[in-house]
Amino acid sequence: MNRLSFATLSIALWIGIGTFPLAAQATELSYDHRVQGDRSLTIQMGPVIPLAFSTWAGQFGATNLTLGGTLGIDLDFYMDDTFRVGGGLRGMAAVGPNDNTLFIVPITLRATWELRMYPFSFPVGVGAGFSFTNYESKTSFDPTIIPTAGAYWNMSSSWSFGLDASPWIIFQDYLPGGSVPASDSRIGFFSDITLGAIYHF
Amino acid sequence: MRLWNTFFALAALSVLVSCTNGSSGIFAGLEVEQKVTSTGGLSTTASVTHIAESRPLSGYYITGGQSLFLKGYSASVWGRTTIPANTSATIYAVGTTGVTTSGDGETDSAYGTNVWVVAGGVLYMTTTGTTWTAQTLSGGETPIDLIPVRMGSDGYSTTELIVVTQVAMNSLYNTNHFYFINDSATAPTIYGPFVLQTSSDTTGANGLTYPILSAVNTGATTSSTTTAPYYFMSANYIWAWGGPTTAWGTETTNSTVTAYATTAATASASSSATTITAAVHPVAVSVGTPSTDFGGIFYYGGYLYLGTTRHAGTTTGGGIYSAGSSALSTSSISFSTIKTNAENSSGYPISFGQWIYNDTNGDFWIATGASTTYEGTGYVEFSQDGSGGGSLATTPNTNSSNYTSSLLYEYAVGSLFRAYNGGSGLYYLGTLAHGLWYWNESGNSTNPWTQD
Repeated sequence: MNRLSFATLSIALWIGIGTFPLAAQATELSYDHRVQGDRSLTIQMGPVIPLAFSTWAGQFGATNLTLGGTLGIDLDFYMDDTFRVGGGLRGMAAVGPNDNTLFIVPITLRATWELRMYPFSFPVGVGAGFSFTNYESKTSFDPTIIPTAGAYWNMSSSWSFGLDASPWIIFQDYLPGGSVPASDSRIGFFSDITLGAIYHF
Repeated sequence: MRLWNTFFALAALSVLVSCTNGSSGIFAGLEVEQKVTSTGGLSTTASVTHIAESRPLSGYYITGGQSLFLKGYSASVWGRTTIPANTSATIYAVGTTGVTTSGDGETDSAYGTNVWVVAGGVLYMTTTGTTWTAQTLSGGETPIDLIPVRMGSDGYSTTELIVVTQVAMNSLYNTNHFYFINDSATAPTIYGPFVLQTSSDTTGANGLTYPILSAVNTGATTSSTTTAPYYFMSANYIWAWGGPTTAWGTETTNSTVTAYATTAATASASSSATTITAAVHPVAVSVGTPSTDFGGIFYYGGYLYLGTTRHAGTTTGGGIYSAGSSALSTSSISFSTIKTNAENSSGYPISFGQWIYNDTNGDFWIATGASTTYEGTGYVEFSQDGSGGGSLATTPNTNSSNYTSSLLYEYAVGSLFRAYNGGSGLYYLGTLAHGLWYWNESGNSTNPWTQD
């Protein structure tokens, strides 16, 4: 078999393999669970990078935390084919300089827009809510914003797999006169990169 | 639509401020948390001579001629830490300067922001808790101690420090120059060197004899001053000083300064007062005695208080004296007697004393020793002076019974510190060779002293 024939056969083979799932998807997505009224359940896990703490004046300081880990679950409802709203629950843990663990549990309401380019979809959204933060014997209840951007491969009408990247912005703001001095007010910046699986139903 | 309403409601909820239990922020604490080289390690036989609090660094520091320990507000144990530039250095002293105006509910909200340490003959400072920088003394002397300047009308917060230096190593109290660190949080300045001289001493040689033991700034001017004066207490004399940049006598900035001794050491006071003389009422503890606070000098409620010990082996002498603002001047201080014979109500000689403001009153804490070396059995007790006018109670209040009921009464006292504890005071008592103890004010008569 000469080179040209081999190349032609290889290309034909790859095109065949490549188009088979597309063909299958094209068939399956005719029953797509991504339309108004449908739901999606996302499970994510991955590392969390503690980035920095800053004051309201813009002075940044180190977090003194190790790389952390996070696990999250989101439940969304499709308002139309490309927009869904819902809620998310996450948990993260990272370790401080003296081996004490920082726990953060954000609970957010989320709005997500899906950009689609089949077989891929690119969800972009934002969540707002609050986080329970615990370190040593201190517990805090902090306003939180978590924007998200992801890239998913739609394996079928029910399952998608992909990656998300989310910066976590957690506000620890204290008013003068409280038990915690106002000068301790900080904004915490974290970032996660997670593997995600979405079940559409 | 309902979901959108809920979304916006939750977003609106997010503008609320954080709620945290505790006395410091979680992120702020992590930002300055220091790695401790070993958890715990504060021995029950440690000596603790210095206790300081830095609120921005979220914790307390103690030392006693051994290691430097720190404890965060929420921590349960003291952790040993080191100066990165000199990890094997013996830590002799720790203190704080600088001011944070972030009040925690107390009337006086001036907490130290910069932490200073004398370690291995070098002065170090940190503002971050993680980076320590060595400080140069312009005269090249060796620092050996840090004396807090108790500020203001309540004498509680210390935002300025005196660096005591040593010229020759043949005597603990063979000091010469001192330096003064002011209260700027962002750029503290080390003024000096200064030396204490009497008016007849132009060489500064007498500075060798007069190590500073205690210092206070009244926070208020007197009839004869334009700035609030400092009062230093050294052996045999009380010194009145205008500060590093204010001229009294012949002071000049950043050079050898003459701080004229008052004549209080031999002053004749008002007709009802006692003449304080060095022979009968020594204004310094004897060499070898642990206290640097008693004799001490304190300012509260418009009165300057002087506490003196008595000579070891004697049964009389020493006392507690007060001088009102009208009696303060640049040339002499007239003291009235509050208590004579420098002993507590049970007759034990006072070996340690410190004035502490507890948000409502000034309390005078004294520790006593029964033996001639002031290291025997004794008490820590306090007497409230609510009037500020020198009417110390002659009998200790009920807290002394808690103290004497513990083993603590056998130990010599090296330091005493009141920490704000969310509405009530947490007192730390550093002993010599018997560790650190604490007492929670909120329990009052039922809380015992507990070893930390």
